[in-house]
Amino acid sequence: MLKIQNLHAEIDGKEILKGLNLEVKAGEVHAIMGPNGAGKSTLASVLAGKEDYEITEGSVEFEGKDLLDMETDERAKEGLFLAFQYPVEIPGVSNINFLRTAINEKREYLGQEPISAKDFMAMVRERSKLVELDSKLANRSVNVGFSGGEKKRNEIFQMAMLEPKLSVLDETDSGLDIDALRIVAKGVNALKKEDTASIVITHYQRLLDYIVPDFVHVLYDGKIVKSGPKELALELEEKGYDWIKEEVVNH
Amino acid sequence: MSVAEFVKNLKPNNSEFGLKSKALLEGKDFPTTKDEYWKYTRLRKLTKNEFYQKDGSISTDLNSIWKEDIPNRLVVVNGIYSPELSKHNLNITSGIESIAKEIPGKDEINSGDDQIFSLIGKAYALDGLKIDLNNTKEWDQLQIIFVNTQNGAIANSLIRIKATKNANARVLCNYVSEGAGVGFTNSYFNLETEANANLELINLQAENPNCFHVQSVNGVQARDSKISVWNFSSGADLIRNNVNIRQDGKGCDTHVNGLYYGEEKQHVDNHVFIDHASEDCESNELFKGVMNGQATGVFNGRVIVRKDSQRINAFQQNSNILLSDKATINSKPELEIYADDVKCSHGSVTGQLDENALFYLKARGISEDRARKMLVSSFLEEVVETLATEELKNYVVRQMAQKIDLLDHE
Repeated sequence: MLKIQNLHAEIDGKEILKGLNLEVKAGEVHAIMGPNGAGKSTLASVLAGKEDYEITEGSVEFEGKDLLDMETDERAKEGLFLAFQYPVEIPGVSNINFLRTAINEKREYLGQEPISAKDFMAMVRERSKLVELDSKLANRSVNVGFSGGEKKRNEIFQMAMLEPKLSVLDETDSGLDIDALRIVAKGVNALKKEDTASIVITHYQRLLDYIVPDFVHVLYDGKIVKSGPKELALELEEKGYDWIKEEVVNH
Repeated sequence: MSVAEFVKNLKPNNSEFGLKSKALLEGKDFPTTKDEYWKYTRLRKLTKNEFYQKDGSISTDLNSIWKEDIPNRLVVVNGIYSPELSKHNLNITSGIESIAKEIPGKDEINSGDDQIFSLIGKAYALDGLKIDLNNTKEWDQLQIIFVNTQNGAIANSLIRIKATKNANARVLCNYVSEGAGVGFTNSYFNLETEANANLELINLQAENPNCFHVQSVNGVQARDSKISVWNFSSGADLIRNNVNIRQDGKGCDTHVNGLYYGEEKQHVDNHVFIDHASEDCESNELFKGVMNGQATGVFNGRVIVRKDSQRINAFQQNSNILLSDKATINSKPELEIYADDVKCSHGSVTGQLDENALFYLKARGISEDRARKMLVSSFLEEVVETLATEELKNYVVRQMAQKIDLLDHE
């Protein structure tokens, strides 16, 4: 589904990603862990197409297409979803209007008819339940006046509504208490299908108690320096990141 | 440039107040950027043209402009009232004499500006409308469409609207233009609210980009009355709006709101002057603008609280978005407070479209174009929201969206 090869990216002339390789297949959940400043959020932003970053080398293939050649909205229409670490507040744009616009733009792109108001509202009711998001919030401006937990649940709600092929969750656990974490994870797990995949970016292991990854990768200094089964996350939790850094230096 | 040169092709009306206004114009020049209230507005692109008083038939499809639920409809072509195109059951009289006796003494508001264009209107308008609104049970609703036929037409329109004691009235004005060449609309309003009256004036300025529009609204309020004025500006090469309101009685409420959009080299200038000449009054101003291309926007909000005008609340907010590096905004609040028990505030913010919000929308699959529209519309919505009814809000957005490609509407 996703194939990242030798990806180099910089911002303001500073290189952040320094030759990153990653392959994600349908049905898989990949966790990317790493210390602060390793490039985790840069990877998420680069995949979504944030223009602040310049790609200097490498390639990203998404479902056989050149992802880096696509506009941000095109990537989303092709089935990529980024759950933001810091969801943006947009006063004056209602959650509902925003989501219907997004869904219908995607449908148009895929050559489908727009969703009917009735089907759309039914979908809103059903999927807001999934993340226990008060349906009243759906009528409010996007993320305005939402608590930290509500913002993150709103991200997963949007993910449920947009039905992406590949979801990238950028530190979705940051700032969440254990209940909110459980709800968010429940939503993500419920959306897991054979033909979808997720990349879960996190600093801590605790999210991975709820969203169980098939693979864990350690990102350090712009590269994936270690990959392993889910147990690797536990090892990282226990020993921290220093032993990885040493391993890299000694190599 | 001299006013005499500008009016050389125009014939004056011979009403007493017309001749008096003409005399006041003698020897005058148009204001320049050296004048305090014209600092950011150059009149050259307007005054270099030759204008003529024209009567004309119109081809505009008025049906696309009429707001369906308003029963009273007036049409004014190049400043001349058209009874054939109008239909109403209100107390309205036309003709220059109908207002020549009414206006003097009722519009003298010292805003600090010479009001040259008001004088030109009074001297050279060939018609006028006197509208008395007295519905104390429901709202009187009136729509006036002003058409400028261009080809060098000057449309001087003089309108006096009085809301009598306890009356409620809403007047919607649409400005449109048709034809080739330039056109100049010089519209003048004298508003008066008697005690406890509530008068709303909503202006939709949607002329073609080779037209000019100067509008002067002068309102005087008696006690416990309310005047609300909205200026929605989305057309014309140069727009200058003056709204001058004086609160003569206790307990008055004044709202002046505006929304403006400019692109290419358009220039939109809003000058508001509120004279708190009495106590226990309130005023609110909310102006929002979006400037694209090389457009320039001006907002000048002057508020005076007179010495004996205690317990005044006066609020003012001007916010702008610049969509291009070459667009400009000049925003200037002027608060002059001579009383001590007063709450006044003003705010002015100018910025760009929120790049993070734009990215967020795009990351959900919304195209750049649509995302920009959503953000511009949501920014401007606050002003639309101050309108009284949902139908009116929808109507205004629909009408403006015909001129502003950036507006999002259903």
